[in-house]
Amino acid sequence: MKCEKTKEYIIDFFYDEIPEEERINFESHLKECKKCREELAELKKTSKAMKMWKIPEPNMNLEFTSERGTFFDKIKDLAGLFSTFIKKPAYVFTVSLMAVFLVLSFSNFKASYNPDTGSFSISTSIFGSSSDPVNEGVINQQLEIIQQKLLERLNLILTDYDNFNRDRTERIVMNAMNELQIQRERDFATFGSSLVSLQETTGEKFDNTLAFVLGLMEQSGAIEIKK
Amino acid sequence: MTFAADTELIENFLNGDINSFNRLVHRWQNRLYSFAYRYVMNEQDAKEIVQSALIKAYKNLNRLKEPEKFSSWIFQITVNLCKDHLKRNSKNRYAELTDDILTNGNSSNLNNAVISDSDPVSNINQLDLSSIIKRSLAQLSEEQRVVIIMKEYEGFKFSEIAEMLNVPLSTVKSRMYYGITQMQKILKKLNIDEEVVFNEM
Repeated sequence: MKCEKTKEYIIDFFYDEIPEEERINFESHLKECKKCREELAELKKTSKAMKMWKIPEPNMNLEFTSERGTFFDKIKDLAGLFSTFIKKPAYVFTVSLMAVFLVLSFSNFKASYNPDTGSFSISTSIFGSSSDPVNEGVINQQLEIIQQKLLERLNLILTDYDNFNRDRTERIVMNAMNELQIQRERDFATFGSSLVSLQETTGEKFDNTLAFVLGLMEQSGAIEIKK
Repeated sequence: MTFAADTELIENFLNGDINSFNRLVHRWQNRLYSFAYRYVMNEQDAKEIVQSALIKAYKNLNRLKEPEKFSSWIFQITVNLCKDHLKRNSKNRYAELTDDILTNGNSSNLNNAVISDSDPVSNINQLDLSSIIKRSLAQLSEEQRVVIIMKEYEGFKFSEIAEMLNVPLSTVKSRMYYGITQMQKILKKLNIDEEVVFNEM
């Protein structure tokens, strides 16, 4: 075995990953070659020295509490997640936007969003003036548009903050949005049909749907409404 | 609590048991932290990276096709977050760390910057050997450093490292070889030899 050849194997040999037959060759080469023995000794020394790098105690104690549960649970989890990450005023604004989004995700709505002024105008109805059944396709389209604009807006809001935090918040919002939309599609049917039956039994029309939804959310403990 | 394999915990978690995910977290968080710390060389950043990695795992675990490869997968996530972090923070504390020993980027000044006396042992004892190793590793290229960390401190096989970094096996080995050779040179300049290491031990 030539010295050049051993370069390939010296690392494998040292870290005990050399194939058995090569080991035998390599060991016999080592007996003859002082240069390679020295190199191996250097390797050992360096490796040993590197082991002296002590690092601070991790002291990590992460705990995931969010259960894959109901939609309300999810909202609570999200609120919790945000409260740990979001300390700055701009983030609070983001959370408010998120809250509006959450409400919207419950109901049939017409919403417009102006990214220049940052203002939402919403008209919602679960059983609004139209007696048509909920058009899921349209809603999803609207959701996507709002989601997109919200993210764009978010980008603008967060430009002033450092990149790491911005990226992290974006990721969180993005994930939250995706999850919510999936969950929303499932929950919507249940929610809508229970309202229909409620309406049928009580004969009551829920004209002020937004307030109704908010009330429901408050009762469930998902949100707190300041009066 | 009986021992459960990662794969079992993953399955339980995907069936809705959050506690299983927390067991995975407790099992891996410290090891991920040590790795991230050595990669980005900052305590707070390392903690945030591990937190992000685990949140990512929480969200995407259902997409992990081979649950038996969880450790490679979670390390891969962590590596990518570390990489992104260093890329974003080109003027970060890590850069300062290298700057302060590389006066004007000239590594030949290393000796003077860290050690001014000629007697190696007495000086090293005054300095923290741990921080010398840290600073020396900080001088390697990121590509070499990550391979060294995964091998020396995490004990992964070269083939596993290749998979996690998504580079050929031969590349991993050559980065390891040249990285460790580079470390030898740096440590030699600092007169860190066996005597010093044994002395510290």
